Amino acid sequence: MKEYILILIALLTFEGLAAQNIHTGYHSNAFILKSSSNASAFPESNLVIGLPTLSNLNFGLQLPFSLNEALSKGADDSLRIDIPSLIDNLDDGEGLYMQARAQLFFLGIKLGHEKNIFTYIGDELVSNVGAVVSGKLLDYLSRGNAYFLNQQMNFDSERFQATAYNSFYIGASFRPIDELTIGARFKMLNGLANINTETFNLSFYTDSTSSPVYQTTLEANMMLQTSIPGIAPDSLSFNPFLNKGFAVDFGLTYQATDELEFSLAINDLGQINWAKQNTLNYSTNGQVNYLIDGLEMSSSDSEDNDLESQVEEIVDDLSSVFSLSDSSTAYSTKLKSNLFFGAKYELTEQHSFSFLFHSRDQISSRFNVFSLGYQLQASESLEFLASYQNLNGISNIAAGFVICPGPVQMHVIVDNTLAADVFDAKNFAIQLGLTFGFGIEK
Amino acid sequence: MYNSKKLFLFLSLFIFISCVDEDIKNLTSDLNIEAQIAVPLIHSSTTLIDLLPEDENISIDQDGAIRIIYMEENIAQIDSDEFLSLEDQDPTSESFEIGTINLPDVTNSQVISLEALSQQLSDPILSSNISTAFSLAQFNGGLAWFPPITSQSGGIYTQNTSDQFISIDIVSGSLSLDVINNLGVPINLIRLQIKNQFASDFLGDLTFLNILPGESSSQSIILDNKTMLSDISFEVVEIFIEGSGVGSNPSDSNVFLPISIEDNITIDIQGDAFVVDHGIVVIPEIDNGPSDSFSFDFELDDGIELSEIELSSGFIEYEYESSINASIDLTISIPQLIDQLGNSYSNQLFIQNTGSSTMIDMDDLSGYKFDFSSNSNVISVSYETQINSSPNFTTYDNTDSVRLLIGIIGLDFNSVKGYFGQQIESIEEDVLDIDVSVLEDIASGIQLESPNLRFFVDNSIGIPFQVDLDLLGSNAGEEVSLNGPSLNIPANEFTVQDFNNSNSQLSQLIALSPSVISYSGFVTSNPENDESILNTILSGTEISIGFEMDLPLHLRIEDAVSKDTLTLTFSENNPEDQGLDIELVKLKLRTQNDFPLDVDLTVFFADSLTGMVLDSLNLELLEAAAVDEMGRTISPNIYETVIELDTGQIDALFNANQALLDIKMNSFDNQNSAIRLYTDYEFIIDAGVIVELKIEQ
Repeated sequence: MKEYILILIALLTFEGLAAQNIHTGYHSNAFILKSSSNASAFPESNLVIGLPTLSNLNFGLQLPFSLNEALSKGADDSLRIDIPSLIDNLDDGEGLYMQARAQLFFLGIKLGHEKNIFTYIGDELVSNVGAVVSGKLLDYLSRGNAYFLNQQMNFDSERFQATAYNSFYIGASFRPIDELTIGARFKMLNGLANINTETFNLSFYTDSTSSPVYQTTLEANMMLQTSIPGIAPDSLSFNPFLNKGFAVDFGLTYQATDELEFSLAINDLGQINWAKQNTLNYSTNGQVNYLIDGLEMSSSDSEDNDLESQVEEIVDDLSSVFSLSDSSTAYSTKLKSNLFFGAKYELTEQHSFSFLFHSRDQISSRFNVFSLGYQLQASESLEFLASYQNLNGISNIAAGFVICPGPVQMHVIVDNTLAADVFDAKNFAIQLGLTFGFGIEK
Repeated sequence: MYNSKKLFLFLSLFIFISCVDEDIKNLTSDLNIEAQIAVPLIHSSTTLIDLLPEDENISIDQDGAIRIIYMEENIAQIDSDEFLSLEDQDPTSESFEIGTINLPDVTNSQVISLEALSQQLSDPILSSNISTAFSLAQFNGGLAWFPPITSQSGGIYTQNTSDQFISIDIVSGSLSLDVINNLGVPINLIRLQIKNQFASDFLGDLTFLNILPGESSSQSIILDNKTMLSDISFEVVEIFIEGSGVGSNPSDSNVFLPISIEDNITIDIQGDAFVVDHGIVVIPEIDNGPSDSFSFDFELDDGIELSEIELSSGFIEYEYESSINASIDLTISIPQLIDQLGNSYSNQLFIQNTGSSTMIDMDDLSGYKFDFSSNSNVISVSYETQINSSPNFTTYDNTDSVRLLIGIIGLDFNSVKGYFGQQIESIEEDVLDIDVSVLEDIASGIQLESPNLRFFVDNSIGIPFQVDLDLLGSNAGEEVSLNGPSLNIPANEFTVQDFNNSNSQLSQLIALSPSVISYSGFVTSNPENDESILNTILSGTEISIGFEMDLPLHLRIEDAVSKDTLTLTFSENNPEDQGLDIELVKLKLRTQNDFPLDVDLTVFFADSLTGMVLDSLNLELLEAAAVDEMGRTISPNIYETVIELDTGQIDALFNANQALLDIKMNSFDNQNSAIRLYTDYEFIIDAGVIVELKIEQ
């Protein structure tokens, strides 16, 4: 039992690395950050090169609870997992999400006589992991069914989705006028791995008034789709190139005044089709149910009174009813789309303020972030960034810097500096990157 | 410098946020979880029918009511033969003598010619004179001088009078002599003496006077008590014929009288109505020989008076001796013995002189019936005889007789009617095939409310009976008698009589749980001793007695005990073996009691290997389901309770491999009412358990 609970906690913790796109860096000078979140980003350099694996590392994490909420101090000052607290903080829809992006390379160049077109090509590895486990389920599992007598306990919000894919993209941003920049990015996707709970419905009902007493009904309807090397029926033939997908990003930046800028971006509109040859699905084949009604003894049939065999029969039946059958069928998963809406006001050349609204599709809800940022152009090549974020009611303070010594542009942004207080942090994101820009117009 | 300030600010921010609340090194993987798991434990249903022991005598009514029925079709049987046995009837002796006989009339004639007479006359001259006269008459127109025969003897003449006897002793009878004068002159006197020829017995002396020529004179001799031989003699003791006259001139034609050598005196002998009682005779045929009638009692036991016996078999045995020297046709009639055509019995025996031996004759009576309607138990016999003529002379005596023995043997009947009186036949002691200990197998302390012991008496005999049965139950030296009433069994009826609590001690007898129920008794015929009642017995009929003991489980139970055993396998999954501490076990019991019984349930957790009871649970007394006026449960009584198991009981639960259910029962309101048990009564125990597990690691 303990092991299972620890696994669950660990899973929740890992899943807490839920994806969070850049917020603080959205209005920074780091082109690669801006470009990854808004396809209309237009660099100052005529040529931008992102080194493989170093050009942009983006790692985000979101927890439904903090460690302080998950742990409690025991009499011996030991910190133990506080199950009730965990349950209290596992609100509906909240889950544990992680996103990691590693750009393998980036190459962009301005085109046109006016140099008002920036075209680029790149490739990145993206992984998304998300899991939602309701506090109700954890509560049910940890406290036992006796606390929930005569209550229909339905668990259908639990989800687990993990996707890794390669995104090869070609994009362009176009500045038709000085005030407006528009851009689009076309992504050709190859699914590397996926686990997706297509259907997860689980319910329990323990009846204290039934005969037999505490008769418990279990119902389940589950479909788990997987496409993972090593899991597919013929792993040696796993071919990620068969898991094809397509996605597009759209972006727009409008310089309303010399000081005020608006931007809008919609990213990751697309899906990945997981080929039949690479998949293995596990399913209950619809809804199944099982009635645990204990042992039966009847004076009329002594042959049925072998309780040991009845116990074995119950176990066998449970295994049989709830065993998942596997099959290979093609399926598709949509990418988690993102919406960015930003505004930046440049108070002076050194000081500017920004607002960002980010809405991201998650497993069971949308993740909305409101961010207020401050950009300090400390010098020509150094910019400090700070922001306040409200993530579905949770406040974060983020900080980072962008340094551009010559053609090199490097950025480090931590999107929740409070995450340094490990016990209180619920989310964390970091972006690191190094790119080279050449041909800056003077 | 300016940049240095900015850098410091940036690093300070990092330092600031690096302050943490707790030392992460103190993080432990230990868990404190208290979970309560509700598990349906067991659903145990115990139906009454399954509690019943396997017993072929347990019967289920259509409505499910349970009863125990013992039945034996024939525990005692008394054949009709035991009430009437037709024994061989001792022979009845009857004799008869031949008695006197009537001989046929004797008719014969003795002709004494004048010539022969003349030669027998004592005057020898007369013979020559008469002879001369014959001669003269021949030439003188038949006339001649007829010499007067003065009184003198005329000689002896013999005569066989009959071919029917040689000698007879005459009881009565007479011999008539008609003397016919065939002379030409009157016979003035003729005296005859008649004697038996050789014995010279004198039979008679007759004198005839003045018999004119051509005329006759008759006289009789009474022969009563005389012996007569068939050969007799006539002695002419004196004869006097005046003829031409004494002193007449033989030459005087005037005195010539007719005379001829043909002249004679004829004596016609007529023996009339000889009744003889002895002799040597040819016994004449006697159509109406001795006849008589007699009767004898048909021997039966005292008090039995029969009106009719229809025989299936039987014989009349005739045993006879005869000293009569003539064959006899003996016709015997028994008016009470009637054949199938309605004719009275008649049989003819042909009896001959048996000498000193005895002859036996038998006649089959199959199909006959005795009709005693007019003469109870008495058989009348009449006989008639016809004595056939003996072919030869034979001795005869009127005491010659026939001795006849009439017996009736080998009797068997198809039916008998009559009155058989009060006979008592005993029923031999035996044991009923009943083992009421099956009630003990159900539960102890059962008091049956309406047991019924039904006796079936199939009486195919046309006699009413009274059966007195003595049933005795015994167990360990204690005995209880049924003390039931007598069974009154009408004739030719199938009679059922019940013994129950109102007329016997049946409940007490059953409550004894007897190991043996023995019975004996008597069967009395015609218990009312009413002779006007016509009894009938048919062959092969009998009176048989069977019984059915019906024990409906309509009862009161007081502290009855029933046990059941459940197998437990919790020990195989003892949570302690998996590091789980069981803090609490709450056993929730829901009992649905269909039985109209108060149930006190005690669960013993036991180890079957050692037989040790590890711990026990006592449940509160469950109230019986209320019953209607018929004793049937109206609705089940549902009882629910939660029992918290202490540590010892928890340990016992997981260490025991058996749960012994000890159920004590008392019937609903057993002081005032009884209940009925039906097979569908069910005792359901639903047990669920809430186990509080504490995981602390």
